[in-house]
Amino acid sequence: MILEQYLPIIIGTIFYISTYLIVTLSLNLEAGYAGIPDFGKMMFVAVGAYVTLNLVPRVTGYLLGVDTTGLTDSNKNIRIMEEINSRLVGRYDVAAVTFIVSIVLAMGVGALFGYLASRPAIRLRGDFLAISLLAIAEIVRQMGIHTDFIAGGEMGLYAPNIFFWYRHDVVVALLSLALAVATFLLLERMANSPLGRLLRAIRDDEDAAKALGKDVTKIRTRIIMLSSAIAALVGVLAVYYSLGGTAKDFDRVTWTFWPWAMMIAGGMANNVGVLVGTLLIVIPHQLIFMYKHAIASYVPFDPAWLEKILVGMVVIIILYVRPQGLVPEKPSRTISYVRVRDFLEQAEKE
Amino acid sequence: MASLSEPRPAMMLEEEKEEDVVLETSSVRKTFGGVVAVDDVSIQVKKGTITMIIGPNGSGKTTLINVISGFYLPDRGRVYYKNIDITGMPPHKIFELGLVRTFQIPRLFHNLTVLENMLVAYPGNPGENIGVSLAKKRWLKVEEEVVEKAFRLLKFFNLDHLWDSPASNLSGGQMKLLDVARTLMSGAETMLMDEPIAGVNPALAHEIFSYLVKLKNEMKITFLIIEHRLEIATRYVDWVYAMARGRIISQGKPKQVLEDPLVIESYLEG
Amino acid sequence: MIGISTIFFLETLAYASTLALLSLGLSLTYTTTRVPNFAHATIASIGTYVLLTVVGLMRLRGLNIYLYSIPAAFITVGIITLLQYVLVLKPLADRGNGLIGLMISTLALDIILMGVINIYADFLLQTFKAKKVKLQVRDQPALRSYDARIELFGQNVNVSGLVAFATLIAVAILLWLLLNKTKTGIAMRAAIENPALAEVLGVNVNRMYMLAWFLAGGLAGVGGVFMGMVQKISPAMGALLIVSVFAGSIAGGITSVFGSMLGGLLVGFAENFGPYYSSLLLNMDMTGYDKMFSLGIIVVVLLLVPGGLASLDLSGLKKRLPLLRAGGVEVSGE
Ligand SMILES: Nc1ncnc2c1ncn2[C@@H]1O[C@H](COP(=O)(O)OP(=O)(O)OP(=O)(O)O)[C@@H](O)[C@H]1O
Ligand SMILES: [Mg+2]
Repeated sequence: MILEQYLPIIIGTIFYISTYLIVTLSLNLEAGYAGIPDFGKMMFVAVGAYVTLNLVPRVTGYLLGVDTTGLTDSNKNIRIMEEINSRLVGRYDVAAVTFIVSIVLAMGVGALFGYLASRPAIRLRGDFLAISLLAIAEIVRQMGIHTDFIAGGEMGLYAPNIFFWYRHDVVVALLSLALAVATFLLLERMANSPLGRLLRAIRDDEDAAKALGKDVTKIRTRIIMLSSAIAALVGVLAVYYSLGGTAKDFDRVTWTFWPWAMMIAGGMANNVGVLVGTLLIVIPHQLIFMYKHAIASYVPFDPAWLEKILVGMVVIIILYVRPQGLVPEKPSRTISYVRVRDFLEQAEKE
Repeated sequence: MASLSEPRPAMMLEEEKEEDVVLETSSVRKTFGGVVAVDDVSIQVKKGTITMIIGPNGSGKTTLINVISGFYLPDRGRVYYKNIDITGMPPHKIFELGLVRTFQIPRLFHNLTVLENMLVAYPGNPGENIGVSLAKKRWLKVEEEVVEKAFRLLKFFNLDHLWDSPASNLSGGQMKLLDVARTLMSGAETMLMDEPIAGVNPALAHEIFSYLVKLKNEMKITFLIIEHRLEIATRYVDWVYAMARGRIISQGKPKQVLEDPLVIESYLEG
Repeated sequence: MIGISTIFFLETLAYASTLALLSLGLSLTYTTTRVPNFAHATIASIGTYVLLTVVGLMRLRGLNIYLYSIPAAFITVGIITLLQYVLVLKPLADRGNGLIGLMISTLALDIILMGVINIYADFLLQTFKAKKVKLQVRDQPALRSYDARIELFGQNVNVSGLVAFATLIAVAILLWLLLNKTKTGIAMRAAIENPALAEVLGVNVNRMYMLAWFLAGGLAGVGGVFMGMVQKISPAMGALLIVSVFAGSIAGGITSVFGSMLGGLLVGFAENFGPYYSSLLLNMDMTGYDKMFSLGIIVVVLLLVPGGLASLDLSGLKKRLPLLRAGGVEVSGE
């Protein structure tokens, strides 16, 4: 009884923690480690969703013999998707192919957008990059809302239910969790390699890095591409979680500012910090969501506004009292501390 | 020798250039708005020598280094390194050809530890590649060698005990040392150093220069060094250029240049 | 103007002048702290809500709207922006936060202000209901029908475009006089161009920066007033507007106050006339693509002349307008 009542909120919490963890980890790679001020993060999540809403169903439709012309027309979309979903039941092969295609396509398009969006200002001072990424992201969103052919405009589009064999929300939440763990391990490995150290160096002093032969522009471009590809995954997950989506879902507050807030709160250039920051912001958000009505009776306005104000203030306060975040940056442990001490002693004996 | 400061026609450079000139600028000019920082500067640095540039504050020494190392594009003139025209090449490409530079105000990676600053400077660590970084097996060996080398250099510069503290915690003199040590870590063939011993105690300053001389003799490394502390540096260098108001006003053996009335006058003015 | 109606031209003039006021202020604050203020457009929308409040509660019509709401918006928004500098940016900078930390703080403030405006809108809604004011607080169409009207080229048009442009010209002249002919203005320029030297010469750099932020905010507030006369009023109006404001500053040269003003005008015209003419040219509906023109301007300028219009060599002009200068846009390396 009680479990049933709380199951949706538990599933939702797992899903949000996992997806935010993925986005924030990817942000930490580019911003925390490499110093790239990606203020356009929402765009990369959005393109993952656009791909899943717009391109992937065409592949699924083709495999199932469903005509997908007019897919982005909201009137036809619902009928096409009903047809796809009814034929999809039991077709594990098509479901698996659809899933793989969405991941591969989303990551590819995400990386491509990362490449293109960073072109105008990748060589300029960080604030120009921040401004141009934010501007491009706003326009990608605007285009998604105002035109039908990208993501169905205001009405949005439906997505195939490839997890027909069980409750799709549960499957997607658990899948997100697995991907979040994988992303964490992958980026943690990268962080504790010579690459992690190099990125922190470039962030600290780009000119010194150039003088030491580092091709700063190339490295930054690759990192922003990788980071954007990872963020695009979350667009895929979000679409399968709600079986559809609109361009409106991906706005600056939810998918740019929140990840930044989580990273700043937890600690930049520290993946454990990112985890702490994500929990710190998602869990209260879920609580506010759960007790929305109770809170609403105390305050004479929508608690959602209050939450915005609070998160904004938390960021500013943390920047003031603890600019390094709750869990500060650590050296890149490429080889164990003990082994390093061996080398030190050896040098001192000589 | 006397007419060396006159620019030579670029066409003739190839044939005429002496074998052992490794770095050369020809008629380099660099202005900032109305300020002419470097004006018609032609210098030659021979392989395996320590060449020093002196000159009063604001005479254009640092700007010249910035032009050579690819940080500034000259308004006029060209820069050749190992007979390759490197004018306008991006700094990292110039580094790849074997030329490294330090900064007058040390530019350390502040949030990295002292050791990490050294390790980053090592060129071509395979673990810096995105794909390879995930395969520890493929970079661990190199990494350990680099750590070993770094500690040897750190010990020489008396920085080994500080290996695990962030570079931002160092004193001004220590920062300078780390900057120089980091440059040596890069293993470049030619090093441009902008006031390497500024703020370093005299005993250590002498040791550093002795070490540079050793590198020069044993490994044929070439140095172009800007220095103000002539009382220390002079005895170690082979050739001196004196700059004033953006121009080369004298060159020759150290003693010769320091006694040049033009040079003395420029310092009095400056 | 070929094919452009007087009304469309005047609406565009109002919008372009608004952008000019905003881009100009953005650059003014940028030159002091070297941080692009991502909250600048939302700050301007506070000015729009001042307008809405004044029009609703005082039941103003015609030129009286400007008479009351411009000073009210100038002061309210000026103070809020001053507080942003004094309570947020300055302390954070003093605590050693770098560019990223400071930029994110302005993004945070943007969100905070959006929350505050929404709460204020709820409050205003109650008040309007109680006082039987027939105005929306969210998605209120532009207050065109409240504007004063005059006869121009045989057409009866709103004055918003003319008032906005006249205000912009007046602001430009006053600002020029302030920066060039008054002791305070010269001190401010010194504080901007070389803070360390200015401090030595006895200029209170912090106070000069406070003044710059107050002025920038005040002008954004005034811009917000005009915005409400030609665009739909909603708490989220700043979210997209910021793109145009940055486009204006970047086009003009973000470190150049007067360059940015011209840049803002340029972007304003491009956003309105661009879709109009390209619709005719391509024979398809280009409305809704207005921000594409701003983006185009940002991309082209950053790729070709990162210092903006002001960095183009206009030596003669440069001497006369000391702030029209590129300096500070570091294009490192290549
Ligand atoms: N980035 C720059 N922008 C404008 N002017 C510059 C710049 N860099 C150097 N200058 C000017 O160029 C001239 C030469 O400066 P430079 O730093 O090369 O001198 P220097 O010989 O290295 O002096 P010092 O001994 O003090 O280091 C000075 O007048 C300086 O003000
Ligand atoms: Mg110098």
